[in-house]
Amino acid sequence: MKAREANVELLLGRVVHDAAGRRLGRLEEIRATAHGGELLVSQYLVGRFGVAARLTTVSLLPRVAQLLRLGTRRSGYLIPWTWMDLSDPEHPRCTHPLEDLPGIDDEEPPYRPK
Amino acid sequence: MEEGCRVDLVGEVLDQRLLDFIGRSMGCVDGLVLELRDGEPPRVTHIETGGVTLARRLRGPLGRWLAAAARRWGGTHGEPFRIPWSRVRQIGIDVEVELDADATPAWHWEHRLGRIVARIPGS
Amino acid sequence: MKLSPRQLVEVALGVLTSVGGYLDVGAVATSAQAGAEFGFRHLWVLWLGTLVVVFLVEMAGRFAAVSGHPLRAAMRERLGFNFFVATSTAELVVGVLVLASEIGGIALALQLVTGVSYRWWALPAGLLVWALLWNGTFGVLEKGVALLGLVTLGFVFAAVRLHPPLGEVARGLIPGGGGHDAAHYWFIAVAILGALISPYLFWFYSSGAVEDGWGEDHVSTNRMVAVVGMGFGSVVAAGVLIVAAMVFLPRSIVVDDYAQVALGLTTALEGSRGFYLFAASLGIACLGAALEAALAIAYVFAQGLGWNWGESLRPRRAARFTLTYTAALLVAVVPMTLGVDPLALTVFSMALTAVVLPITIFPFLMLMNDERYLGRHRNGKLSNAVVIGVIALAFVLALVTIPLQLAGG
Repeated sequence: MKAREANVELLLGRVVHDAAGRRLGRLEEIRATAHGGELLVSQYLVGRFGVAARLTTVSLLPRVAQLLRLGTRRSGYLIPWTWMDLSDPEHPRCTHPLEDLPGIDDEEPPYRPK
Repeated sequence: MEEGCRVDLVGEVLDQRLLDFIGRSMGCVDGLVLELRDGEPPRVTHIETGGVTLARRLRGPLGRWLAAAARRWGGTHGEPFRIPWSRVRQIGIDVEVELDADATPAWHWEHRLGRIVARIPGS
Repeated sequence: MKLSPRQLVEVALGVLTSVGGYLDVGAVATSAQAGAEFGFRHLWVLWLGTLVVVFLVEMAGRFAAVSGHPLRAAMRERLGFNFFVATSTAELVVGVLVLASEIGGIALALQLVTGVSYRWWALPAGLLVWALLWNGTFGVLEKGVALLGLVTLGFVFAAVRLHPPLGEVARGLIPGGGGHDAAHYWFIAVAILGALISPYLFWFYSSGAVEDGWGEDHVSTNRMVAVVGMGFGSVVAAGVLIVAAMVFLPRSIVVDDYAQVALGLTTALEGSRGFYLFAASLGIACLGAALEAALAIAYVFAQGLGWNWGESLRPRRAARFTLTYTAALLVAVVPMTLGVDPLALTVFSMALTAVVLPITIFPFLMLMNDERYLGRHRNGKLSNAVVIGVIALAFVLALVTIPLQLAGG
């Protein structure tokens, strides 16, 4: 039987709801960790304002504020892989209510020189 | 890739340039395939590249037109071109893979057009 | 700042390149119109536009040098494919129109010299541009056109020889208004800014930095090239304006074709020397700009879609890239061949450039702050403030351009 698949580029930007059907935001990033030669998903980042790392009109203002280092934190949620249900890739669902979710941390992505 | 090293799939891999084993540009990481497994974390299995994958990302009439064009004229006849993740050598500013671009559908159109170009003097 | 001999050569070449590419049909047309109708009162628009371009070009160069990536590629990588497609589509439309205008400029220069209509010259002009791109390498084109571009200094000499009243020139350098004909004055101001702040210049410059193999050690060279190069080009544009002001304004001649501007130089330099100088300057400036604009279009496709690209590659090694600029040129020669008025198309494409500008500059701002690409070289507060100012300016320009064109064009 063919394993179920999902495409990262099609999951990007999809609205994610929590267990109670409340809207959490849009899927912005998928974090993975290398284990034993394989790349395994560890967390999903859902941004409250929209796809912050990518431009949508809704997300401009907080992103610009962050860029100017005015101190606005990105807002959103970190969903561990165990709590994400991707059985319907067009409607990703978190299996826990939003109260259980840790907030997004504000790290910059790692700098990779040329 | 080192054990435990963290990779942001959207920010560091998706849409980055794809380089073959001797550093030639063979396209971009247009898609990433995750294998969903019960009780285990999803696993990155393939990189996808090419018009078929791009067409799927564009919603609307442009996407549909591109998909039809890729099916008719593309190098893979409508199937997305997949590169197994095991072929990825390094992720930096670009994604390097252990493949020869000449031997893949990535350069299908480059080769076809290259033959036409070669007939024009000065090329 | 001490420069090694090698760096000195690079700065010199970079400067010359900027002259060739910065001064184009749009800058000549708008400066001439400004001088003919409002005397020296638009000189401040010239230096303001130049200041903006200096900042933006420096950033484009710094980005490419430090990250090794041209801006367009980074735009897709950082901001996603869908956004890239949306912005690129708008820019392609504008880009082809600008290319058509530049070809019109070359064709007009040939018309001035030979008397044969520009409509016949459009196709040969396109063919010339194509042949240079096809057979030349980036370095050869860069240096060749740059050296030829020195001929545009003729405008500066002409301006000096006319002994413009320095008091009035100085007053023109201070921002002011148009008095009785405000709508038309501001329309020309907007057109000048649209002509100077052309996105294709940044795409080209950042791609050129990658083609030339600039690295992090080029950051200070880049700064100097941006300032001196763009500044130099703006001095020439000011020369055009001053000549037009001295020759046309007193006679109340409205500039609506290039032959008149040529006549102006003829008067200024007393004889046919001026005429040929103008034709040569126009032709060469437009040739340089056409080369850059055609390449810029090819860069958008190639860099955004991950093709192998590079002007220095033999065409058979970069088939998709070279066929893209070939296709662009084929489309671009059509308007002139059909008899579209070159000056009108130029002004129209400058206005359209102004409208599309905010879409271009905003992602630019985001990329210039990206730590992953720029590390410690990312924008400081001053640079960010300038870009935000430019975005605000670009929005204003975009909003007022069309109404102004209708009211005062």
